[in-house]
Amino acid sequence: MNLDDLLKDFLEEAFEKIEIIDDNLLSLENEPNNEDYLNEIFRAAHTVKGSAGTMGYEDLCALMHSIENIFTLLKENKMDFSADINDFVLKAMDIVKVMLKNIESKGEEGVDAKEIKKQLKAIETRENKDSKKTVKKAKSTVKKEEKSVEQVKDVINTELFNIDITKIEKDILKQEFKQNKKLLYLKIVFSQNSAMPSVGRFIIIREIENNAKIIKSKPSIDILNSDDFIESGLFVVSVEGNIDSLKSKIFIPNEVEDIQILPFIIDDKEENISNENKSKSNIKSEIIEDEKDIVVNSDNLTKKESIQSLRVDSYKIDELLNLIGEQVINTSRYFRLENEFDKRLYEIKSLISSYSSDNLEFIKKLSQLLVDFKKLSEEFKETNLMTRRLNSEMQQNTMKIRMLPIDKVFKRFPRMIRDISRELGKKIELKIEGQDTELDKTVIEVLGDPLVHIIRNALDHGIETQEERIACGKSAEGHITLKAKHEGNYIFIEVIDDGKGLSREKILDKALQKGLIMEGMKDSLKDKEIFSLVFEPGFSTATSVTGLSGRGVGMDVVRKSMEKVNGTVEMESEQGKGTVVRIKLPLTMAIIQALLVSGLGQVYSIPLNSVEETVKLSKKDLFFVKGHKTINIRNNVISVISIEEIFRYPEKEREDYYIVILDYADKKVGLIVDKLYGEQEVVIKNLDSDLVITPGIAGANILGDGRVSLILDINKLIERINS
Amino acid sequence: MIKVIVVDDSALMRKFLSEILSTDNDIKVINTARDGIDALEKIKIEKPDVITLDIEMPNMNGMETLKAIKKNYPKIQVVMISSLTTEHAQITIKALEFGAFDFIPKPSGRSIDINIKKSTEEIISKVKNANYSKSKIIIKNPIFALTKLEKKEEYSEKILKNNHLNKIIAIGISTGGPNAIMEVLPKLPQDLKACILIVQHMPAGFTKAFAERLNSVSKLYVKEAENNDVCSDGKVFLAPGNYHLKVRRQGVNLIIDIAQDDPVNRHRPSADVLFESVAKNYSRNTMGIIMTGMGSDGAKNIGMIKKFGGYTIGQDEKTSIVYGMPRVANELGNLDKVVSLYDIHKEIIDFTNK
Repeated sequence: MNLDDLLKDFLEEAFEKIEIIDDNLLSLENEPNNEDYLNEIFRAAHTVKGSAGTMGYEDLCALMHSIENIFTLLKENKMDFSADINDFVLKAMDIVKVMLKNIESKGEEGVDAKEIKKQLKAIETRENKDSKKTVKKAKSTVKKEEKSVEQVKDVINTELFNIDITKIEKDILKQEFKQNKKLLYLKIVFSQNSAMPSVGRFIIIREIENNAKIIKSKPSIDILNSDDFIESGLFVVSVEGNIDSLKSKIFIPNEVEDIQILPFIIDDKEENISNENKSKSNIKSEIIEDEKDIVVNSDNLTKKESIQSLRVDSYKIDELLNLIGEQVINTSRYFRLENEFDKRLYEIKSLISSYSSDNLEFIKKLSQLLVDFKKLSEEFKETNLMTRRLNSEMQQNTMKIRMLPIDKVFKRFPRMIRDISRELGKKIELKIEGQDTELDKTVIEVLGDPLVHIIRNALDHGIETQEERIACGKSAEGHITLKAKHEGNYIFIEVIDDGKGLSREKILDKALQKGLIMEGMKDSLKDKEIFSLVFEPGFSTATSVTGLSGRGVGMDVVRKSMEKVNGTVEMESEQGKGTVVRIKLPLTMAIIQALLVSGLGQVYSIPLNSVEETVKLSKKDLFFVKGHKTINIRNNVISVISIEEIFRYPEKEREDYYIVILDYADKKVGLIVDKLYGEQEVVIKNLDSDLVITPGIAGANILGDGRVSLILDINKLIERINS
Repeated sequence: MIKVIVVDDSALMRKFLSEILSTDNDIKVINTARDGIDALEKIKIEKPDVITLDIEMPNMNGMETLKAIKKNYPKIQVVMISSLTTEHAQITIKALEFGAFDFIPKPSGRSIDINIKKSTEEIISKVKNANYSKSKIIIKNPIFALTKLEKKEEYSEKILKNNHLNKIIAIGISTGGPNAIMEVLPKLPQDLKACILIVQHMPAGFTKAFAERLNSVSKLYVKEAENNDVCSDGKVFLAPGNYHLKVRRQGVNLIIDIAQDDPVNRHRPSADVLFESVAKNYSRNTMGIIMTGMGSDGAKNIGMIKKFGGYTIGQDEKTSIVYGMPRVANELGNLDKVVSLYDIHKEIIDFTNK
């Protein structure tokens, strides 16, 4: 039996089921009495439990068993569903996800789920107690119940160590990691027998600092150095040397009771999960024997994730297979034609050699051959046409295989919005539209983080508090709509909120303050231009910094990541009514419509989505403003640059000026080229990183005649020209 | 060639079972199905001999599927795949009454290698046995009409207070056992002057559900045996899975002793262990019954009951799903009599009235 295959199947199935559980958990919160949801969750949990048992993952099996138990109770009405219970189950599911990821990368769960299991058990027994209580005993049971709730809370406060890592700290950690240092959690339980605990802690911290770099501690170093009674401290550190020697140095007798060390994992994508990972893992330090294990970090994890196999709807492959089948048949026609041609050629040859007296017979034969040839030629053309059609369809269908529904990204938001809105105390309803819209896999992968950021912004700064909303005459409940739609060759994704909207004045003040605009420009800017300032690097409208957004990472990061996949992002807002953030993305990554132009003896491709128009002008139409070439098109003054200048060649003398007007975020620039060839679909090939990376080149494609054409990166070009 | 369809909603389990079954040259997994509806469609076309059936599935669960299969294709044998939860153990026992041939607990353990090793033999032998006994449908009416007995609690109060012990009936039984026992126990009267001890080969976790089920359909007081239970008339003790069932003397009483000694004949509980123990401790007031089952567990030591002056019978070939254990016992000359399943209760009553 192939165990690797089995493992792959197991993981695939488990991830799928866990998704089902997550989805249904959230649905359940809205409709707690819907049995379908309960059954779906129960069945999915049951399957994962069974599979985990079969695969020998006992911890995972046990955890899933606890979850299954809770849903058995819910199903049998022995317990009522509440958001409280859901919190625990969701938390448990997060741990399950970490376990699965660990299984995927390391072959074992790697997480001690004792704590969460204890909590789940507490829920189970508490609720069971509930169901058994009689009227007589009601009073005492209620008391007991309160107590058990408190116990559960206690468990969370003392036994789970949670530590918040800020963005900056995370960046530091990443940097440390890049320098091949090991990132660790260090939990130190201070000894109760210490004669002078604060001095003891001071010495311990000094020892840690001598051997490692403390990135974060909980409680803070100041508190640790105070005279307060402190049971234990949690540190996030980076270490260069040996972990055992670090441990032995910190282990100061009479001061330290216990040290637990476990690897710290940076996980950008699922911050919540990594929090859980941090807090729930309780592995004793002895487990970390092989130091290499520790270096299995999230970089590895994410890499693995992105090269993961693609799950494809089978009908897409069927379609492709059909086409290939047709193509095979089509190709066999070429063979026949080849034979026919050969036969006729042979006949012509023998005819020529037999040319003699009988003129009439000769001409008759020749004209027959001509007729045959004409027929063959027609058939040949038809076959050729067919081949071309099939090829293009096959190409399209292959592209389609790369397409995934955007739901892959959207589905994480209900949970996220639920958690954050509970945290913020805002009531928010999320509406999702067009989740079936398909997008290229590469785009899907890039889309997640920016959307998280946009939505967090909307939740944090967009939607007002309930009181504020009521005061404005709005519904107490805020609304966020996540919408995806397909238009032409583009996908539009919109995040719409009905919050307080952007303030023109605030943006202008901020932009002025940051030097993004000049005083005089204030009044001439249009709304669109003002809102686009938000995407400038370093711009952030948040006046208060909360844990959620406004952590110094502004919308510029969102724009940057969208540009990576040839997308654009813009904002629309009406003060008091709400904000729309609109992302425009190309349908597919690998193929774009491009305008082919020539210059410097080369053919260049310009993505058509940044081409506004092309014009042909003569030398006299050019004029100079402050030494820059400019042209006037319909009373718009546009600066132009020649293709030679871009690549730092001396500019060529021209009579006719073919100019491509490029458009990028409402800025226009003209590019002078030698010749315009017209539009074409080009397949983007990435340039090898060994090749010199020239700013302004996005990739290359191969032309019909085999020549290589470089694809110009218009955004970068315009940036260069502007600077 | 035994044609098998694996029915499970988990892709992993489908693969796991298929691969294990495929390691045997006599078995061919002709298809897999993801739920009951899918399974019924495939059964219609592919005519399998044996089906492995999961319990928890969407659209149509294992129990409903089993009923449909048994109604439309009574010849197809069904082996249930059950997980170790209380609920599933109960469903599994019910499934046996509804005509499932046997069941296999879902493997779970420390590693996949161990699980495969542990499961392979069991899965293959159960599927083979199921196919082998295809022609033997001993359950006349697969859907048991046995209803829960209402006055049970009063009776058991009385039974529980009673410490008097007349006779011991020791039963050793394996494959096909649950249904055979279901055939015998309900026919015994509430005032039976004997205590019945049963070793049924069954994994841990299922014996409790089976005992509860037996209790609910018979007039006697049936429970899964526990240490220090006192043997007395009107009680039936079922050996718990993964434990041997023995008796020992304590003053005037005969006390239940369960222990995890090494498996005997690769079985725990083992019928040989039970037979030896009752023969030594209750000699001629003991009746040994060896019933349907593969192998030879109990065949040797039922002879000790006979030797110590007790009475021994074995189930006949015709009514045994697998005629293994009773056949060996008979060949060893350890049986006083060979009887049909439908007469076993009479033999018991006669013996207790002697």
